[in-house]
Amino acid sequence: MSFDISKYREMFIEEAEELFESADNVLLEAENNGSLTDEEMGQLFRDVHTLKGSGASVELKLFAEFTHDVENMMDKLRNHKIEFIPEMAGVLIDGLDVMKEILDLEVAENLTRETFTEMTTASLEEIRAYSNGTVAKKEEPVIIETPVTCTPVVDEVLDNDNFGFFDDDLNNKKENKSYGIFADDIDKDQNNFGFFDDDLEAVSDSFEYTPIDKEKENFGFFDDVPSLTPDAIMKTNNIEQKENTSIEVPIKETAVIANNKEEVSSVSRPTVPRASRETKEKAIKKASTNNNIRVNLDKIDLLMNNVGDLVITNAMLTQFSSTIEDSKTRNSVLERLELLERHIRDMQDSIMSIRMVPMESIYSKFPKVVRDISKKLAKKVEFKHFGDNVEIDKAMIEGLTDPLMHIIRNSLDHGLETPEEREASGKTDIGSITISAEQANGQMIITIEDDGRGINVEKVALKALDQGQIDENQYNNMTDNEKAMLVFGAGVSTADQISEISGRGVGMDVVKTNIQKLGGDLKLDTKLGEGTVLTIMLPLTLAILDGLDIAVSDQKYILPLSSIVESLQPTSDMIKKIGDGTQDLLMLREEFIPIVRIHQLFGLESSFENLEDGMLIVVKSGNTKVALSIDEFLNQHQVVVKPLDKNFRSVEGIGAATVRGDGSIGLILDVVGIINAQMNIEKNMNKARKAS
Amino acid sequence: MAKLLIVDDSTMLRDMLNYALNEGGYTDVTEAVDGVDGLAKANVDNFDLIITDVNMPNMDGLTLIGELRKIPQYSKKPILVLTTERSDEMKTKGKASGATGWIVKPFVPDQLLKAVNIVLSR
Repeated sequence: MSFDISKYREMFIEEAEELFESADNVLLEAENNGSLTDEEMGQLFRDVHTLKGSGASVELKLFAEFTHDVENMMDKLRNHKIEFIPEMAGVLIDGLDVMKEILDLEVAENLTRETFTEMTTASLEEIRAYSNGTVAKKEEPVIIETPVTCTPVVDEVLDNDNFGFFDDDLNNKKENKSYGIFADDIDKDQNNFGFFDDDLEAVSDSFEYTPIDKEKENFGFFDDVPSLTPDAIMKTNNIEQKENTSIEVPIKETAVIANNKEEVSSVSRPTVPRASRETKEKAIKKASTNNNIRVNLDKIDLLMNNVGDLVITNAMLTQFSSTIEDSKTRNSVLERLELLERHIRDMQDSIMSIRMVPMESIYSKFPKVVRDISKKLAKKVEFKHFGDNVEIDKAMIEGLTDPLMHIIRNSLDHGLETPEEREASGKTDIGSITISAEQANGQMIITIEDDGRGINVEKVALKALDQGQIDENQYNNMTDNEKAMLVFGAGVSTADQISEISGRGVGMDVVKTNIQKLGGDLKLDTKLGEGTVLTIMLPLTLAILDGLDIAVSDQKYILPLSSIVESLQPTSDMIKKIGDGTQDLLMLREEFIPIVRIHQLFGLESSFENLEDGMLIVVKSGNTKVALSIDEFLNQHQVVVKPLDKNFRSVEGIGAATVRGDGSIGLILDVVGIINAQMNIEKNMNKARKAS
Repeated sequence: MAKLLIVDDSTMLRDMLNYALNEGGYTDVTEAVDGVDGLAKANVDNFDLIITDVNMPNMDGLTLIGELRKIPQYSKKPILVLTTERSDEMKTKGKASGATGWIVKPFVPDQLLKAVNIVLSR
């Protein structure tokens, strides 16, 4: 039997990503504050240890080989065989980076032994130097362990007929087996049967381990090691109150000499180090919060969908029960249906809460990026994040991580000045980037703030004008913030020189598109010389939205409530015609807003000719507003969003669909799409006008 | 049918163990993600064999074994430790914690099954 390695490698890569992130973050913090707690060292060791073990299990030999050295250093730190000095954090972070590179190449089967040696030599030298204590603070005594030869961890396990012995293990020459049985305690147990009821007697009893079986060479047994009973071990940690002092003394002695490696092999030592006891105590406290399971998001979506169907069925029933003639029966049926509706809503809320994850899961990716980029740019940055526990719909994380990453990169590259520039302008040499998240007014608000040089809005506006993104008229009427928003237009970058980090002018428009795809919006406040604040507003969830039913001709559509600014019944003097007379503008409080006739957009027979006979709803996305011309608006209600493109295909102007209480399909208007379509019409008109 | 509990913080390794055990005819396998989880699961069920990793968050494998040995129903059940270390030190520790035997990670499925068969047949 053998494993489908490719399948497990995929799993490993996913797992490795999390482990790298976890280890990176501990090290980044250590690098910043210059210290590392025992608990953090333990975690680092475990992360890297798991990387090695799992990597070896999926036959990533070179990866495991290099990781072994990193692990070795962390192990020594953990056991205080070497003491942590701040420079080590950087060395280990670099080590993790090398591990990532090796992993990528080895998985792609693109790594030769030569390349491997080339890639690792420098890092290995450093790591080993620190591991062996040759680089350390002079005043601190360092216990130097016999240098560990870097032995490949996975040694021909699978290509060897001999069931994969580890025959190069220096410490284990006698027992070249891949598994073994600790000498039989079953016989002994039988002899001692009955003692298990009595703690004290069990404690005082020490088992004699003797080999029982030696089938082939695949087994290892221990006959020369003095043993301790499990209970005796627990005693060294004072977990049990009733102690047998006669056995405690020798254990303490062994604990003392246990620090000396040479003696350790001949003497047994207590198994549970102090640190792990602390972890254990903490673990027990944490036990309740640790009852987590991993669930595929698709399953939760399915569940949400099912509840959505339940909502619909409930609405159908309610509608149907109103046809019951006997009023007494009707009322009692309706009463019970109301109860059902409440339960369904509770269930909906519970499922929503499953989908929510803390912002921390996004934030955790940033410190490493900030460190790497600021190093590259030789800028000093303090990165702060707030609202780690604010929850966000898991479905949004994917769409949000890249834009946020891009914004942070941009702040680092263009926003923050170099330490010299900062000092010259009277600022501290350390720049700051702050990201925070909060929930307010049923929205998720994320702000990214830097105290850098700010955006030169004039420069941006002139560039946009130059590129024809805006015309002169627009340019003259724009506020500073509106001009600043132009950086989100395609191809606009204030960077005179393209850098490696950002500055190609692509990206910020992608940021905007991505945020809008999530149903969100952006705001930019910037002050030259003082810094920039970017605010992202997002709906709390993508699964449910508050909608307004609007009637257009004989059709009903749903408009997301969040996009509505105001609605009005226009008078004829509010409406101006421009261009060839086909484009209407609404003049509202000295603002010109283009009017979109929904009838025209969807090819419906219009029930009125003059706009003032219908209603206008002003909607906005970002800083752009349009007024939608409709027949009338109806009621407002919550709808369960069903994506259209997954079930049918994407349709311009329609964002998604829902199923109404009567079982019919309701279409949800895509405000961003409508606005974009309108802007394209305007652009074409401008072009045509210029051409003529 | 023997009931098995495997404790490892790596989803991938649990999957591999589970697969290998299933192939060997052990289909009643429960998974736990760390010592705390393993102990909780062991408490509500009665497993015939427990295979545990050593280095895990919250509670490591050796502590888990110590805790399990304190529970009467597990005082004599076979417990195997899965370890990347093969040093005498590890063995001393493993044995002292009350483990029945050890399996080196990365493991070969046939080797794992052989070890499992032996401890279960006793």
